[in-house]
Amino acid sequence: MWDNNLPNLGVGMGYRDVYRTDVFRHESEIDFLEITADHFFDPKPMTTELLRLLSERFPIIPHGLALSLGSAEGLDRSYLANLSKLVHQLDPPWWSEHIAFTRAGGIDIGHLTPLPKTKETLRVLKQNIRIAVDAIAKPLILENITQTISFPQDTLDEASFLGELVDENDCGLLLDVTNLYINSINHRFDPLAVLHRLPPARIVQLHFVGFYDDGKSLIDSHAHSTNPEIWQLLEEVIQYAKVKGAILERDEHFPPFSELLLELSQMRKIMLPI
Amino acid sequence: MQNFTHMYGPLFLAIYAAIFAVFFTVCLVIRAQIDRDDSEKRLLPNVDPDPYQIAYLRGGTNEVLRLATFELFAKDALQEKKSRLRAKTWELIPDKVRPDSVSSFAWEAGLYYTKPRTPTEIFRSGIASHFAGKIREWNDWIENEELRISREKQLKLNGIAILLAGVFAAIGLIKIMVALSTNHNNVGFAIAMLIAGSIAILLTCLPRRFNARGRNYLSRIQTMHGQHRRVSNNAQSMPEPADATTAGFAASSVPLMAMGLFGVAALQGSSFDGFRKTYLRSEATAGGCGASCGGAASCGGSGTSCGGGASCGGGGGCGGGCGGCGGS
Repeated sequence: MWDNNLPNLGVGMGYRDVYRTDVFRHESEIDFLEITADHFFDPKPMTTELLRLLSERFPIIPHGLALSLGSAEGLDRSYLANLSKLVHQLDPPWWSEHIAFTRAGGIDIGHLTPLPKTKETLRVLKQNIRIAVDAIAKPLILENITQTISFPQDTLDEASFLGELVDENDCGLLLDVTNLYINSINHRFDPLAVLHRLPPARIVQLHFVGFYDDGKSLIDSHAHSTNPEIWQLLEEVIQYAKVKGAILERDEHFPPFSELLLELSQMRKIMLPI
Repeated sequence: MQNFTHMYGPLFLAIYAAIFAVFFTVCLVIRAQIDRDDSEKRLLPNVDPDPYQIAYLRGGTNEVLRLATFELFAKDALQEKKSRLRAKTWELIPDKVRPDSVSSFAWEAGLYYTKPRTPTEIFRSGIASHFAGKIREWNDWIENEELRISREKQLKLNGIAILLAGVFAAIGLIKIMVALSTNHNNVGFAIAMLIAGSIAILLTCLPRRFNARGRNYLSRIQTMHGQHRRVSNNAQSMPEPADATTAGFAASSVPLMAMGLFGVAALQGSSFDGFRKTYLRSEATAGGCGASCGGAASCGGSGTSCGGGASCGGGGGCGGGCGGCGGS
């Protein structure tokens, strides 16, 4: 059964190497870090030392990129072994992956690719998730990605798909609030209606960052400050579910670190109102 | 047991080699014990270190002088001059430097560069005596934090190594004398083993710049600032540290911090690469104190494997011979 007694980690950020010194410098203003697991598979002494320094100071959540849980051909066992080793080393309260596929026919696509929302997809995911959770004895939480396309074969809507996925597999949900909002605009649905159909006890962690509008659709670029619409939706999510942590993701157009700290502070006010 | 002085030559050499192996191993084991890091007392690195202090830890006074020169160079306060008779020289552009715009080290270096100087001349200038107080403070810090082997432990190691090298040499010498006195002149191997073996045993006690604790400290602080291992030309991908004003000028200057932490290797490929190349060229032609002196391209934290480890930054094999260059 799903254990909802996971620790509250607070508000943190996705670790990015350009901010390495700043992360250490502002240790007290960052509650926890999320690392891209793939970047730490390399056993070079420098990587090991960095991970040791970070884990001495912060709780760390490993976030996988390329496990490709949606691949019909199954999981890459060497990737899974690396991930398992890293999770074992860090001993985090949970770990996370995307609801996507990144590999097909043995070829690495190099991109998080959306899955059709069908029962067949849920069956493939269930098969792969079972293998992953057997290998990694820590709670798994799954992240919703942006749907750049919608499939004509879709038989389930966003909420049903996510809800069934986490319930059937006894997993948590890493709700990317920005992705939820972007999908709601690009695919014309009400984000709050979807939110309120998700099982609140399974929403463990959040991701948030800004988006931009290219004139045709909203783009999840991880390159902009969190937009007012996202802050508003974050407030709704926090009222709806007792989330255990929120991570600010920033991957491009890196601003001065002080700007990120302001966003963390704003999120902390939403999560922990005085 | 057969007296070793009358032993058949090849048998003696085999036993002599075995004695060497035992003595050498004993020295290495003792050294490793002395050099051990007590992880419970691990020193937590300061996230905003003084780059001059770390440069001193890495490579001694020479590295401080090199960093001071770089500070002037980074402020465009040094103009390069070339002449047919002399190697490339640097000369200060006085109006580019004010006492409040540079560190005290760079100020002293600036006074030195009021006349044209080759890049390596500063190591022999004696201007380091102008900041002797600071160096004393840094040495106290190194001693207090136990970042290098203490004097007592070093003396103990020296004593053991000298004793074992002496015993080893005496055994060989006696055998050689006996052999020569009985007209056995084929003692070349024995002489070679005596000399090489004694030197090797003595080398195990050479003082190093750091102990394991010092190496760990430097490695940790370099890891914290690992994104500055290479100074980038692309400001977009390398944001300056936030709130740098509170950490003073040194911390606000990414190139200066990078240079202090990693040596000139950090400048490779950056807009300051000319500085690195000038040092490499002038050190290569200066002889004696070659490019291996405390933090040149191949040393002083240029990489994980040489990041201020035992063999770098002025000690051991990557700079240990720099004492005669007026530096550390």
